[in-house]
Amino acid sequence: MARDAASRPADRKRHWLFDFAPLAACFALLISLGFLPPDTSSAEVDATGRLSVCMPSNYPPLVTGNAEAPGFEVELVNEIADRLGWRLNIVTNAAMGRDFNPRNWRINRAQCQMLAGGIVMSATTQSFLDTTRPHLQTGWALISRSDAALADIDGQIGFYAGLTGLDRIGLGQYLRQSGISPKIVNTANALRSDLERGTIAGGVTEGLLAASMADDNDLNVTLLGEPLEQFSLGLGFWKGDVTLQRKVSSVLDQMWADGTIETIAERYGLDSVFLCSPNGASCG
Amino acid sequence: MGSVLGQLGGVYAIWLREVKRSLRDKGQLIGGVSRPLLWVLILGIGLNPYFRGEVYGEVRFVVPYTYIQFIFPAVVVLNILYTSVQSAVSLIWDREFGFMREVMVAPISRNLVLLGKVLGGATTAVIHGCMVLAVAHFVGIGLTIETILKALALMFTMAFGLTAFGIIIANYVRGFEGFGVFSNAVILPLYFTASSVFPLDPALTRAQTLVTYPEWLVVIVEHNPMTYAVDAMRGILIGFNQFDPTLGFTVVGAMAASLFALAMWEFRKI
Repeated sequence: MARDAASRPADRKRHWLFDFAPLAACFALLISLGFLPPDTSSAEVDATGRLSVCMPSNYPPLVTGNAEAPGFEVELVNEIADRLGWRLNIVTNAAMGRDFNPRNWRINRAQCQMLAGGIVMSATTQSFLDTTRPHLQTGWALISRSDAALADIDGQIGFYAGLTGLDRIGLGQYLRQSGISPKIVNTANALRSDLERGTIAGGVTEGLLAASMADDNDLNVTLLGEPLEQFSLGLGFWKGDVTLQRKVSSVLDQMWADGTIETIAERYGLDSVFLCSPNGASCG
Repeated sequence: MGSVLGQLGGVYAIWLREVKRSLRDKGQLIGGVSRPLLWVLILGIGLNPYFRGEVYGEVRFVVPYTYIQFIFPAVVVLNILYTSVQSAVSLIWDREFGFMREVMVAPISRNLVLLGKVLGGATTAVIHGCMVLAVAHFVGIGLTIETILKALALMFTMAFGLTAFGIIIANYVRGFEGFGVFSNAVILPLYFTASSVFPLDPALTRAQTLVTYPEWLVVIVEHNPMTYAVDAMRGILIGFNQFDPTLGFTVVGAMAASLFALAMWEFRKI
């Protein structure tokens, strides 16, 4: 009787182990199956050894078209390709820098496996692209010679749409409410030369572009705050290309850890206002 | 005080018995594993390319998730639906072998016996729902603590109501075979008409929806409470809702409360 009482806790333990072992085995099986590759996107790039990236033809400071300093995102994807042992093939697409709707860029997975050069993490882009964690942030910005607020600027304001994916409708409403009727220009150069000639007192454009113009011309840049949104930028992948996205994301994590991203950003004058934190928490 | 503790001890004993028995039931475990494998890994992978944002130049299905992500929350609900309803088979088992008679003479109220059984079934169903969550990495869904806690709360409420529903069925169906056939005849239509494998596009107006789908199907989908359970689960796991996000929790909560009340009424006849 005494021996029975002593052996009871051990028996109970054994029973519980017996009860839970099959369940634990089921969970172990499912968790391990969860790590199966869900697609062939990374294997396809590995097989050809070449990563094709669609980018706008010119979007300083992200893509400059200058061989010496090709742009922040060009250097970023170059470094990613290098670390993964892939050759980089940049497919330039002029529509990417011009058109608001990414679905009008007319690019498809036959042309490129990755998209870079100012992929804004908006609902529109994320409706057909998967993205990495953000590495830059931007929004509509005011560029001018004075440090006056947008509503206090005396004179005509210029507007260049620039980076795709930003909310132009929201900006339009904001400008109308502020009583501003901007002069719309078609290129960054037109905005720059209008500012230099003094035909406009200030310009509204995307923040990173404004920063690169300000660097050359001693101008002030102010990101326009509420009610306008700030947007995060990352690298884009076709929906469902999970393995490629995971591989590139892990290299980006390494590049954050060893300071490579900050070094490249510094080279293009991208300070902490634009650069995200390594986990992307400080963006957007 | 002692009596209350005694009653709660009785609920605990019934709960523990239900959980242990379902964990020892290999058939139920295999079912719990095979559903995420078949639905998520096989069906999801098979159909994923036809629903992703872009297939070699043709835009097919422009929504902020892949098809495999779209059906994933519905498979969580499917696993809960199956396990909850089928856990009520224990009632038939207990009735058949006379165990229920012994329980009924115990100094514990019938409602608490029912509560113990429903809690046991709900616990098992939540464990089976978690089996689907175990393959979240494959689907590309990042689970945070907050997401998991919200999902568990919804899963438990849903499982509680559905186990009560299973008990109502078990009260009318006397044999094991009959229960299996009847529960399948209920589970699969409930699942397929819950917008689980196809969306009623929220961007469409009601008139456009009625042009896209036959009216009878839209009416069934809109009146199926599981539609709102699947929708709430999608809201938690992939941040996508076809209906008002609060509606899902309201419908699931109301469903659980009313089905348990109905099960209490039915349980008096045993």
